[in-house]
Amino acid sequence: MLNGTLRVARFHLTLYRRTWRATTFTSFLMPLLYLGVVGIGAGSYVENDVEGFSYVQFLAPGLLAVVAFQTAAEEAGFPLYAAIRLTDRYQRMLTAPLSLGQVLAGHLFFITIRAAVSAAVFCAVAALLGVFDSWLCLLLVPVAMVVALAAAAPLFAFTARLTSSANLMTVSRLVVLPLSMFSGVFFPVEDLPAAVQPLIRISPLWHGVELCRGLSGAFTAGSGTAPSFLAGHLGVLLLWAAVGFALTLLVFRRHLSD
Amino acid sequence: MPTFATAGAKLHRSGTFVLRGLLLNRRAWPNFLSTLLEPVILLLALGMGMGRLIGEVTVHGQIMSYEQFVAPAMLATAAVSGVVNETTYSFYAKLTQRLYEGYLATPLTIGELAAGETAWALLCGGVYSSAFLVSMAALGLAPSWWVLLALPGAALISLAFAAVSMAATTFMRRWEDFEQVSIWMLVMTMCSGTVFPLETYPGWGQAIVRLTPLYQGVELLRDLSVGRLTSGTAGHVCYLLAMSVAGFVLARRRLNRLLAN
Repeated sequence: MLNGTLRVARFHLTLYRRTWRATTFTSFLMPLLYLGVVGIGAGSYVENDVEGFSYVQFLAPGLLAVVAFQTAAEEAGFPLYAAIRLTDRYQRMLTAPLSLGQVLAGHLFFITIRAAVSAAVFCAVAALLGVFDSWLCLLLVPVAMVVALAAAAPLFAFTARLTSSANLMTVSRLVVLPLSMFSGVFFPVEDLPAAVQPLIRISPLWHGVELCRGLSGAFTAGSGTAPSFLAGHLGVLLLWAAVGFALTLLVFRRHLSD
Repeated sequence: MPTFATAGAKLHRSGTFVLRGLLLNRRAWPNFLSTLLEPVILLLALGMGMGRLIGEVTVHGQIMSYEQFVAPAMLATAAVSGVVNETTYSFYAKLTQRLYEGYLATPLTIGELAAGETAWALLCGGVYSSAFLVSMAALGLAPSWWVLLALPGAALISLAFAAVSMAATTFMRRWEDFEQVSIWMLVMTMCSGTVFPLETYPGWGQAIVRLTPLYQGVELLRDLSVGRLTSGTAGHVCYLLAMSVAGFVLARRRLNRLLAN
Protein backbone atom coordinates (compact mmCIF):
# COMPACT_ATOMS: atom_id res chain seq x y z
CA MET A 1 0.00 0.00 0.00
CA LEU A 2 2.59 2.52 1.14
CA ASN A 3 5.03 1.84 -1.65
CA GLY A 4 2.47 2.49 -4.38
CA THR A 5 1.26 5.66 -2.65
CA LEU A 6 4.80 7.02 -2.47
CA ARG A 7 5.37 6.24 -6.13
CA VAL A 8 2.27 8.21 -7.12
CA ALA A 9 3.34 11.11 -4.89
CA ARG A 10 6.78 11.04 -6.47
CA PHE A 11 5.18 11.20 -9.92
CA HIS A 12 3.33 14.39 -8.95
CA LEU A 13 6.45 15.87 -7.35
CA THR A 14 8.48 15.21 -10.51
CA LEU A 15 5.90 17.12 -12.52
CA TYR A 16 5.76 19.90 -9.94
CA ARG A 17 9.52 20.38 -10.13
CA ARG A 18 8.92 21.55 -13.71
CA THR A 19 5.76 23.55 -13.18
CA TRP A 20 6.09 25.17 -9.74
CA ARG A 21 6.88 28.57 -11.24
CA ALA A 22 3.27 28.86 -12.43
CA THR A 23 2.10 28.60 -8.81
CA THR A 24 4.50 31.21 -7.41
CA PHE A 25 1.84 33.85 -7.25
CA THR A 26 -1.01 31.93 -5.62
CA SER A 27 1.17 29.88 -3.30
CA PHE A 28 3.79 32.36 -2.18
CA LEU A 29 3.09 35.97 -3.16
CA MET A 30 -0.67 36.26 -2.63
CA PRO A 31 -0.64 35.35 1.08
CA LEU A 32 2.21 37.79 1.64
CA LEU A 33 0.31 40.48 -0.25
CA TYR A 34 -2.66 39.96 2.07
CA LEU A 35 -0.35 40.01 5.09
CA GLY A 36 1.12 43.32 3.97
CA VAL A 37 -2.00 45.06 2.70
CA VAL A 38 -4.62 43.88 5.18
CA GLY A 39 -2.39 42.98 8.14
CA ILE A 40 0.08 45.83 8.12
CA GLY A 41 -1.76 48.42 5.96
CA ALA A 42 -5.36 48.24 7.13
CA GLY A 43 -4.25 46.65 10.42
CA SER A 44 -2.53 49.88 11.41
CA TYR A 45 -6.03 51.36 11.80
CA VAL A 46 -7.17 48.64 14.23
CA GLU A 47 -6.66 50.26 17.60
CA ASN A 48 -7.60 47.51 20.05
CA ASP A 49 -6.13 44.05 20.34
CA VAL A 50 -8.16 41.30 18.69
CA GLU A 51 -8.54 38.23 20.94
CA GLY A 52 -5.38 39.33 22.73
CA PHE A 53 -3.25 39.78 19.60
CA SER A 54 -2.17 42.84 17.68
CA TYR A 55 -4.09 42.77 14.38
CA VAL A 56 -1.24 41.53 12.20
CA GLN A 57 -0.42 38.81 14.73
CA PHE A 58 -4.10 37.87 14.75
CA LEU A 59 -4.15 37.68 10.95
CA ALA A 60 -0.90 35.83 10.23
CA PRO A 61 -1.77 32.37 11.66
CA GLY A 62 -5.16 32.57 9.94
CA LEU A 63 -3.51 33.35 6.61
CA LEU A 64 -1.25 30.36 7.13
CA ALA A 65 -4.32 28.12 7.26
CA VAL A 66 -5.73 29.89 4.17
CA VAL A 67 -2.51 29.18 2.26
CA ALA A 68 -2.97 25.46 2.93
CA PHE A 69 -6.68 25.61 2.17
CA GLN A 70 -6.24 27.39 -1.15
CA THR A 71 -3.37 25.17 -2.24
CA ALA A 72 -5.65 22.19 -1.63
CA ALA A 73 -8.55 23.82 -3.47
CA GLU A 74 -6.33 24.69 -6.42
CA GLU A 75 -5.02 21.12 -6.79
CA ALA A 76 -8.43 19.55 -6.23
CA GLY A 77 -9.87 21.76 -8.97
CA PHE A 78 -8.70 21.85 -12.55
CA PRO A 79 -5.61 19.60 -12.20
CA LEU A 80 -7.76 16.78 -10.82
CA TYR A 81 -10.52 17.39 -13.35
CA ALA A 82 -8.00 17.26 -16.18
CA ALA A 83 -6.43 14.10 -14.79
CA ILE A 84 -9.72 12.19 -14.79
CA ARG A 85 -11.67 13.77 -17.68
CA LEU A 86 -9.23 15.26 -20.17
CA THR A 87 -5.89 13.44 -20.10
CA ASP A 88 -7.14 10.21 -18.48
CA ARG A 89 -4.03 10.22 -16.32
CA TYR A 90 -5.85 8.50 -13.46
CA GLN A 91 -7.24 5.79 -15.71
CA ARG A 92 -3.75 5.19 -17.09
CA MET A 93 -2.21 5.00 -13.63
CA LEU A 94 -4.77 2.36 -12.76
CA THR A 95 -3.52 0.12 -15.54
CA ALA A 96 -0.29 -0.13 -13.52
CA PRO A 97 -0.32 -2.39 -10.45
CA LEU A 98 -1.76 0.43 -8.33
CA SER A 99 -5.04 0.43 -6.45
CA LEU A 100 -7.48 3.33 -6.64
CA GLY A 101 -6.76 4.05 -2.98
CA GLN A 102 -3.05 4.34 -3.71
CA VAL A 103 -3.58 6.70 -6.65
CA LEU A 104 -5.78 8.94 -4.51
CA ALA A 105 -3.62 8.79 -1.41
CA GLY A 106 -0.51 9.55 -3.45
CA HIS A 107 -2.15 12.62 -4.98
CA LEU A 108 -3.34 13.80 -1.56
CA PHE A 109 0.10 13.23 -0.09
CA PHE A 110 1.60 15.40 -2.82
CA ILE A 111 -0.92 18.15 -1.98
CA THR A 112 0.10 18.11 1.68
CA ILE A 113 3.74 18.47 0.63
CA ARG A 114 2.87 21.44 -1.57
CA ALA A 115 0.94 23.00 1.32
CA ALA A 116 3.89 22.41 3.62
CA VAL A 117 6.29 24.21 1.27
CA SER A 118 3.96 27.21 0.87
CA ALA A 119 3.31 27.34 4.60
CA ALA A 120 6.99 27.16 5.44
CA VAL A 121 7.81 30.03 3.07
CA PHE A 122 5.00 32.10 4.56
CA CYS A 123 6.15 31.37 8.13
CA ALA A 124 9.75 32.21 7.32
CA VAL A 125 8.87 35.56 5.74
CA ALA A 126 6.44 36.41 8.54
CA ALA A 127 9.11 35.57 11.12
CA LEU A 128 11.68 37.71 9.28
CA LEU A 129 9.19 40.59 9.26
CA GLY A 130 8.79 40.12 13.00
CA VAL A 131 5.10 39.20 12.71
CA PHE A 132 5.79 35.90 14.46
CA ASP A 133 7.94 36.49 17.52
CA SER A 134 9.60 33.12 17.38
CA TRP A 135 10.86 30.64 14.82
CA LEU A 136 8.74 28.10 16.66
CA CYS A 137 6.05 29.23 14.23
CA LEU A 138 7.57 26.72 11.80
CA LEU A 139 5.89 24.08 13.99
CA LEU A 140 2.64 25.30 12.41
CA VAL A 141 3.68 23.72 9.11
CA PRO A 142 2.39 20.23 10.04
CA VAL A 143 -0.93 21.82 11.02
CA ALA A 144 -1.10 23.40 7.56
CA MET A 145 -0.59 19.94 6.07
CA VAL A 146 -3.55 18.54 8.01
CA VAL A 147 -5.71 21.50 6.89
CA ALA A 148 -4.75 20.85 3.27
CA LEU A 149 -5.69 17.19 3.63
CA ALA A 150 -9.01 17.99 5.30
CA ALA A 151 -9.90 20.44 2.52
CA ALA A 152 -8.61 18.46 -0.45
CA ALA A 153 -10.29 15.12 0.33
CA PRO A 154 -13.93 16.35 0.24
CA LEU A 155 -13.20 18.64 -2.74
CA PHE A 156 -11.81 15.59 -4.57
CA ALA A 157 -15.18 13.89 -4.15
CA PHE A 158 -16.90 16.95 -5.59
CA THR A 159 -14.59 17.36 -8.60
CA ALA A 160 -14.76 13.65 -9.36
CA ARG A 161 -18.48 13.96 -9.98
CA LEU A 162 -18.20 16.86 -12.43
CA THR A 163 -18.70 16.28 -16.12
CA SER A 164 -17.98 19.85 -17.21
CA SER A 165 -15.17 22.14 -16.10
CA ALA A 166 -17.48 25.18 -16.04
CA ASN A 167 -18.58 24.38 -12.49
CA LEU A 168 -15.02 24.48 -11.17
CA MET A 169 -14.99 28.28 -11.37
CA THR A 170 -18.28 28.38 -9.51
CA VAL A 171 -16.85 26.29 -6.68
CA SER A 172 -13.87 28.54 -6.31
CA ARG A 173 -16.11 31.60 -6.17
CA LEU A 174 -19.02 30.21 -4.16
CA VAL A 175 -17.13 27.99 -1.72
CA VAL A 176 -13.41 28.71 -1.61
CA LEU A 177 -13.52 32.51 -1.65
CA PRO A 178 -16.35 32.98 0.90
CA LEU A 179 -14.81 30.43 3.27
CA SER A 180 -11.41 32.12 2.95
CA MET A 181 -12.92 35.49 3.78
CA PHE A 182 -15.35 34.52 6.55
CA SER A 183 -13.65 31.72 8.50
CA GLY A 184 -12.35 33.97 11.22
CA VAL A 185 -9.17 34.81 9.32
CA PHE A 186 -9.72 38.55 8.94
CA PHE A 187 -12.08 39.13 11.85
CA PRO A 188 -13.53 36.95 14.62
CA VAL A 189 -16.39 34.63 13.63
CA GLU A 190 -18.43 36.16 16.48
CA ASP A 191 -18.80 39.31 14.37
CA LEU A 192 -20.73 37.39 11.71
CA PRO A 193 -24.55 37.15 11.80
CA ALA A 194 -25.59 34.43 14.26
CA ALA A 195 -27.27 32.38 11.52
CA VAL A 196 -24.03 31.99 9.54
CA GLN A 197 -21.74 31.14 12.46
CA PRO A 198 -22.65 27.43 12.79
CA LEU A 199 -22.02 26.95 9.05
CA ILE A 200 -18.57 28.46 9.31
CA ARG A 201 -17.74 26.41 12.41
CA ILE A 202 -18.23 23.23 10.39
CA SER A 203 -15.68 24.18 7.73
CA PRO A 204 -12.22 22.63 7.93
CA LEU A 205 -10.68 26.05 7.35
CA TRP A 206 -12.18 27.49 10.55
CA HIS A 207 -10.77 24.62 12.61
CA GLY A 208 -7.42 25.14 10.95
CA VAL A 209 -7.49 28.87 11.68
CA GLU A 210 -8.37 28.27 15.35
CA LEU A 211 -5.66 25.66 15.68
CA CYS A 212 -2.96 27.81 14.07
CA ARG A 213 -3.92 30.87 16.10
CA GLY A 214 -4.11 28.97 19.37
CA LEU A 215 -0.73 27.37 18.79
CA SER A 216 0.89 30.61 17.64
CA GLY A 217 -0.31 32.22 20.89
CA ALA A 218 1.22 29.33 22.79
CA PHE A 219 4.54 29.62 20.96
CA THR A 220 4.87 33.36 21.14
CA ALA A 221 3.18 34.35 24.38
CA GLY A 222 3.50 31.03 26.18
CA SER A 223 -0.22 31.14 26.92
CA GLY A 224 -0.44 27.36 26.69
CA THR A 225 -3.07 25.33 24.88
CA ALA A 226 -5.39 22.81 26.45
CA PRO A 227 -5.05 19.25 25.12
CA SER A 228 -8.81 19.17 24.60
CA PHE A 229 -8.52 22.24 22.32
CA LEU A 230 -5.87 20.54 20.21
CA ALA A 231 -7.67 17.20 20.13
CA GLY A 232 -11.03 18.76 19.28
CA HIS A 233 -9.86 20.74 16.27
CA LEU A 234 -7.45 18.10 15.01
CA GLY A 235 -10.21 15.50 15.39
CA VAL A 236 -12.62 17.48 13.21
CA LEU A 237 -9.94 18.03 10.57
CA LEU A 238 -9.05 14.34 10.47
CA LEU A 239 -12.74 13.46 10.30
CA TRP A 240 -13.13 15.72 7.25
CA ALA A 241 -10.13 14.03 5.67
CA ALA A 242 -11.42 10.50 6.38
CA VAL A 243 -14.99 11.17 5.25
CA GLY A 244 -13.75 13.00 2.16
CA PHE A 245 -11.42 10.15 1.27
CA ALA A 246 -14.14 7.55 1.68
CA LEU A 247 -16.59 9.60 -0.41
CA THR A 248 -14.00 10.11 -3.12
CA LEU A 249 -13.35 6.38 -3.30
CA LEU A 250 -17.07 5.79 -3.60
CA VAL A 251 -17.52 8.37 -6.36
CA PHE A 252 -14.53 7.06 -8.27
CA ARG A 253 -15.69 3.47 -8.05
CA ARG A 254 -19.00 4.53 -9.53
CA HIS A 255 -17.87 7.00 -12.20
CA LEU A 256 -14.35 6.12 -13.14
CA SER A 257 -14.93 2.46 -13.88
CA ASP A 258 -17.03 3.12 -16.97
CA MET B 1 -17.78 63.61 -46.35
CA PRO B 2 -19.61 61.35 -43.90
CA THR B 3 -23.36 61.63 -44.00
CA PHE B 4 -25.94 60.53 -41.50
CA ALA B 5 -26.49 57.40 -43.51
CA THR B 6 -22.85 56.28 -43.29
CA ALA B 7 -22.69 57.17 -39.58
CA GLY B 8 -25.77 55.03 -39.07
CA ALA B 9 -24.17 52.16 -40.94
CA LYS B 10 -21.00 52.50 -38.85
CA LEU B 11 -23.03 52.41 -35.65
CA HIS B 12 -24.96 49.43 -36.93
CA ARG B 13 -21.79 47.48 -37.74
CA SER B 14 -20.23 48.22 -34.34
CA GLY B 15 -23.50 47.39 -32.66
CA THR B 16 -23.34 43.91 -34.13
CA PHE B 17 -20.63 43.10 -31.58
CA VAL B 18 -22.97 43.91 -28.71
CA LEU B 19 -25.65 41.74 -30.26
CA ARG B 20 -23.17 38.90 -30.76
CA GLY B 21 -22.08 39.11 -27.12
CA LEU B 22 -25.67 39.07 -25.90
CA LEU B 23 -26.58 36.10 -28.04
CA LEU B 24 -23.52 34.09 -27.06
CA ASN B 25 -23.84 34.82 -23.36
CA ARG B 26 -27.58 34.42 -22.94
CA ARG B 27 -27.06 31.26 -20.94
CA ALA B 28 -24.00 32.46 -19.01
CA TRP B 29 -25.82 34.21 -16.18
CA PRO B 30 -24.75 31.77 -13.40
CA ASN B 31 -21.18 32.62 -14.31
CA PHE B 32 -22.11 36.28 -14.28
CA LEU B 33 -23.64 36.05 -10.81
CA SER B 34 -20.62 34.27 -9.39
CA THR B 35 -18.25 36.88 -10.86
CA LEU B 36 -20.33 39.62 -9.27
CA LEU B 37 -20.10 37.86 -5.95
CA GLU B 38 -16.37 38.48 -5.71
CA PRO B 39 -16.43 42.25 -5.04
CA VAL B 40 -19.52 41.81 -2.86
CA ILE B 41 -17.71 39.25 -0.70
CA LEU B 42 -14.68 41.52 -0.43
CA LEU B 43 -16.98 44.37 0.59
CA LEU B 44 -18.67 42.20 3.23
CA ALA B 45 -15.44 40.76 4.62
CA LEU B 46 -13.04 43.67 4.39
CA GLY B 47 -15.57 46.49 4.60
CA MET B 48 -18.09 45.31 7.15
CA GLY B 49 -16.09 42.59 8.91
CA MET B 50 -12.96 44.62 9.40
CA GLY B 51 -15.09 47.74 9.73
CA ARG B 52 -16.11 46.53 13.18
CA LEU B 53 -12.46 46.34 14.21
CA ILE B 54 -11.42 49.59 12.60
CA GLY B 55 -14.43 51.83 13.14
CA GLU B 56 -13.68 55.13 11.45
CA VAL B 57 -10.94 56.38 9.18
CA THR B 58 -9.94 59.91 8.22
CA VAL B 59 -9.50 60.41 4.49
CA HIS B 60 -8.48 63.81 3.12
CA GLY B 61 -9.57 65.34 6.40
CA GLN B 62 -13.01 63.70 6.31
CA ILE B 63 -14.11 61.17 8.88
CA MET B 64 -16.08 58.21 7.56
CA SER B 65 -16.88 54.66 8.57
CA TYR B 66 -14.47 52.07 7.21
CA GLU B 67 -17.12 50.33 5.10
CA GLN B 68 -18.09 53.64 3.51
CA PHE B 69 -14.43 54.04 2.67
CA VAL B 70 -14.11 50.60 1.07
CA ALA B 71 -17.44 50.51 -0.83
CA PRO B 72 -16.59 52.95 -3.69
CA ALA B 73 -13.24 51.20 -4.08
CA MET B 74 -14.96 47.86 -4.59
CA LEU B 75 -17.38 49.50 -7.04
CA ALA B 76 -14.39 50.68 -9.07
CA THR B 77 -12.94 47.16 -8.90
CA ALA B 78 -16.24 45.71 -10.15
CA ALA B 79 -16.24 48.21 -13.04
CA VAL B 80 -12.74 47.03 -13.98
CA SER B 81 -13.24 43.29 -13.57
CA GLY B 82 -16.46 43.53 -15.61
CA VAL B 83 -14.52 44.61 -18.70
CA VAL B 84 -11.19 42.90 -18.19
CA ASN B 85 -12.49 39.39 -18.94
CA GLU B 86 -13.99 40.45 -22.26
CA THR B 87 -11.01 42.51 -23.37
CA THR B 88 -8.28 40.08 -22.37
CA TYR B 89 -8.99 36.31 -22.48
CA SER B 90 -12.04 36.50 -24.67
CA PHE B 91 -10.55 39.10 -27.02
CA TYR B 92 -7.30 37.14 -27.29
CA ALA B 93 -9.21 33.97 -28.14
CA LYS B 94 -11.04 35.78 -30.94
CA LEU B 95 -7.77 37.22 -32.22
CA THR B 96 -5.90 33.94 -32.26
CA GLN B 97 -8.80 31.88 -33.59
CA ARG B 98 -8.85 34.21 -36.58
CA LEU B 99 -12.46 35.11 -36.06
CA TYR B 100 -11.81 38.71 -37.08
CA GLU B 101 -10.33 37.80 -40.45
CA GLY B 102 -13.76 36.59 -41.43
CA TYR B 103 -15.46 39.69 -40.08
CA LEU B 104 -13.12 41.95 -42.03
CA ALA B 105 -14.13 40.31 -45.29
CA THR B 106 -17.38 42.26 -44.83
CA PRO B 107 -17.57 46.08 -45.07
CA LEU B 108 -16.53 46.24 -41.38
CA THR B 109 -13.48 48.45 -40.71
CA ILE B 110 -10.91 47.88 -37.99
CA GLY B 111 -11.99 51.05 -36.20
CA GLU B 112 -15.56 49.77 -36.08
CA LEU B 113 -14.31 46.43 -34.82
CA ALA B 114 -12.39 48.05 -31.96
CA ALA B 115 -15.36 50.30 -31.16
CA GLY B 116 -17.76 47.37 -31.25
CA GLU B 117 -15.69 45.23 -28.89
CA THR B 118 -15.26 48.21 -26.55
CA ALA B 119 -19.02 48.78 -26.57
CA TRP B 120 -19.69 45.14 -25.69
CA ALA B 121 -17.13 45.24 -22.85
CA LEU B 122 -18.68 48.49 -21.62
CA LEU B 123 -22.10 46.88 -21.48
CA CYS B 124 -20.66 44.04 -19.34
CA GLY B 125 -18.90 46.54 -17.09
CA GLY B 126 -22.09 48.58 -16.80
CA VAL B 127 -24.13 45.58 -15.75
CA TYR B 128 -21.55 44.61 -13.11
CA SER B 129 -21.28 48.14 -11.75
CA SER B 130 -25.06 48.57 -11.53
CA ALA B 131 -25.51 45.20 -9.86
CA PHE B 132 -22.78 46.04 -7.38
CA LEU B 133 -24.34 49.42 -6.68
CA VAL B 134 -27.64 47.69 -5.91
CA SER B 135 -25.84 45.35 -3.46
CA MET B 136 -24.18 48.38 -1.87
CA ALA B 137 -27.56 50.03 -1.38
CA ALA B 138 -29.00 46.78 0.00
CA LEU B 139 -26.21 46.76 2.59
CA GLY B 140 -27.07 50.32 3.57
CA LEU B 141 -23.92 51.81 2.07
CA ALA B 142 -25.64 54.27 -0.25
CA PRO B 143 -26.08 57.33 1.95
CA SER B 144 -27.92 59.47 -0.62
CA TRP B 145 -29.15 59.61 -4.20
CA TRP B 146 -25.79 61.15 -5.12
CA VAL B 147 -24.57 57.59 -5.26
CA LEU B 148 -26.25 57.26 -8.68
CA LEU B 149 -23.69 59.72 -9.99
CA ALA B 150 -21.11 57.00 -9.38
CA LEU B 151 -22.58 54.98 -12.27
CA PRO B 152 -21.34 57.22 -15.09
CA GLY B 153 -18.07 57.40 -13.16
CA ALA B 154 -17.88 53.62 -13.13
CA ALA B 155 -18.65 53.58 -16.87
CA LEU B 156 -15.71 55.90 -17.47
CA ILE B 157 -13.45 53.58 -15.46
CA SER B 158 -14.73 50.63 -17.50
CA LEU B 159 -14.04 52.52 -20.73
CA ALA B 160 -10.49 53.44 -19.75
CA PHE B 161 -9.62 49.91 -18.65
CA ALA B 162 -11.34 48.30 -21.64
CA ALA B 163 -9.34 50.43 -24.08
CA VAL B 164 -6.01 49.88 -22.35
CA SER B 165 -6.45 46.16 -21.79
CA MET B 166 -7.50 45.70 -25.41
CA ALA B 167 -4.32 47.46 -26.47
CA ALA B 168 -2.30 45.33 -24.03
CA THR B 169 -3.88 42.12 -25.31
CA THR B 170 -2.63 42.84 -28.84
CA PHE B 171 0.89 42.51 -27.44
CA MET B 172 0.29 39.12 -25.80
CA ARG B 173 2.07 36.24 -27.49
CA ARG B 174 0.80 33.22 -25.59
CA TRP B 175 -1.85 32.28 -23.04
CA GLU B 176 0.70 32.14 -20.23
CA ASP B 177 1.24 35.90 -20.61
CA PHE B 178 -2.20 36.42 -19.10
CA GLU B 179 -0.95 35.23 -15.74
CA GLN B 180 0.46 38.74 -15.43
CA VAL B 181 -3.06 40.10 -15.82
CA SER B 182 -4.45 38.38 -12.75
CA ILE B 183 -1.35 39.24 -10.72
CA TRP B 184 -1.51 42.95 -11.56
CA MET B 185 -5.26 43.03 -11.10
CA LEU B 186 -4.94 41.75 -7.55
CA VAL B 187 -1.99 43.98 -6.65
CA MET B 188 -3.85 46.97 -8.06
CA THR B 189 -7.08 46.04 -6.30
CA MET B 190 -5.34 45.80 -2.95
CA CYS B 191 -2.87 48.67 -3.11
CA SER B 192 -4.59 51.60 -4.87
CA GLY B 193 -5.84 53.32 -1.73
CA THR B 194 -8.67 50.79 -1.70
CA VAL B 195 -8.29 48.84 1.53
CA PHE B 196 -6.43 51.49 3.49
CA PRO B 197 -6.12 55.25 2.93
CA LEU B 198 -3.36 56.66 0.76
CA GLU B 199 -1.98 58.57 3.75
CA THR B 200 -0.75 55.25 5.21
CA TYR B 201 2.02 55.08 2.59
CA PRO B 202 5.29 56.95 2.99
CA GLY B 203 5.59 60.08 0.78
CA TRP B 204 7.23 58.39 -2.20
CA GLY B 205 4.74 55.53 -2.09
CA GLN B 206 1.87 58.02 -2.16
CA ALA B 207 3.35 59.66 -5.25
CA ILE B 208 3.48 56.31 -7.07
CA VAL B 209 -0.02 55.21 -6.06
CA ARG B 210 -1.48 58.56 -7.15
CA LEU B 211 -0.32 57.85 -10.70
CA THR B 212 -2.08 54.47 -10.96
CA PRO B 213 -5.32 54.34 -12.95
CA LEU B 214 -7.33 52.46 -10.34
CA TYR B 215 -6.45 55.03 -7.69
CA GLN B 216 -7.76 57.75 -10.02
CA GLY B 217 -10.94 55.76 -10.57
CA VAL B 218 -11.45 55.01 -6.88
CA GLU B 219 -11.00 58.67 -5.93
CA LEU B 220 -13.41 59.71 -8.68
CA LEU B 221 -16.08 57.37 -7.30
CA ARG B 222 -15.42 58.51 -3.71
CA ASP B 223 -16.09 62.09 -4.85
CA LEU B 224 -19.10 61.31 -7.04
CA SER B 225 -20.83 58.98 -4.57
CA VAL B 226 -21.17 61.79 -2.03
CA GLY B 227 -21.69 64.57 -4.59
CA ARG B 228 -18.41 66.34 -3.80
CA LEU B 229 -17.28 67.92 -7.06
CA THR B 230 -13.93 69.69 -7.00
CA SER B 231 -11.10 70.44 -9.40
CA GLY B 232 -9.62 67.12 -8.23
CA THR B 233 -12.71 65.35 -9.57
CA ALA B 234 -12.18 66.98 -12.96
CA GLY B 235 -8.56 65.88 -12.83
CA HIS B 236 -9.56 62.24 -12.33
CA VAL B 237 -12.04 62.49 -15.23
CA CYS B 238 -9.35 63.94 -17.52
CA TYR B 239 -6.86 61.23 -16.53
CA LEU B 240 -9.37 58.46 -17.34
CA LEU B 241 -10.47 60.12 -20.59
CA ALA B 242 -6.86 60.45 -21.72
CA MET B 243 -6.30 56.80 -20.83
CA SER B 244 -9.36 55.78 -22.87
CA VAL B 245 -8.28 57.73 -25.94
CA ALA B 246 -4.67 56.58 -25.75
CA GLY B 247 -5.71 52.95 -25.25
CA PHE B 248 -8.20 53.07 -28.10
CA VAL B 249 -5.80 54.68 -30.57
CA LEU B 250 -3.07 52.21 -29.71
CA ALA B 251 -5.45 49.24 -29.91
CA ARG B 252 -6.66 50.35 -33.33
CA ARG B 253 -3.13 50.82 -34.61
CA ARG B 254 -2.02 47.42 -33.35
CA LEU B 255 -5.11 45.72 -34.78
CA ASN B 256 -4.42 47.39 -38.11
CA ARG B 257 -1.00 45.82 -38.12
CA LEU B 258 -2.16 42.40 -36.89
CA LEU B 259 -5.20 42.05 -39.12
CA ALA B 260 -4.39 44.16 -42.18
CA ASN B 261 -3.36 41.35 -44.48
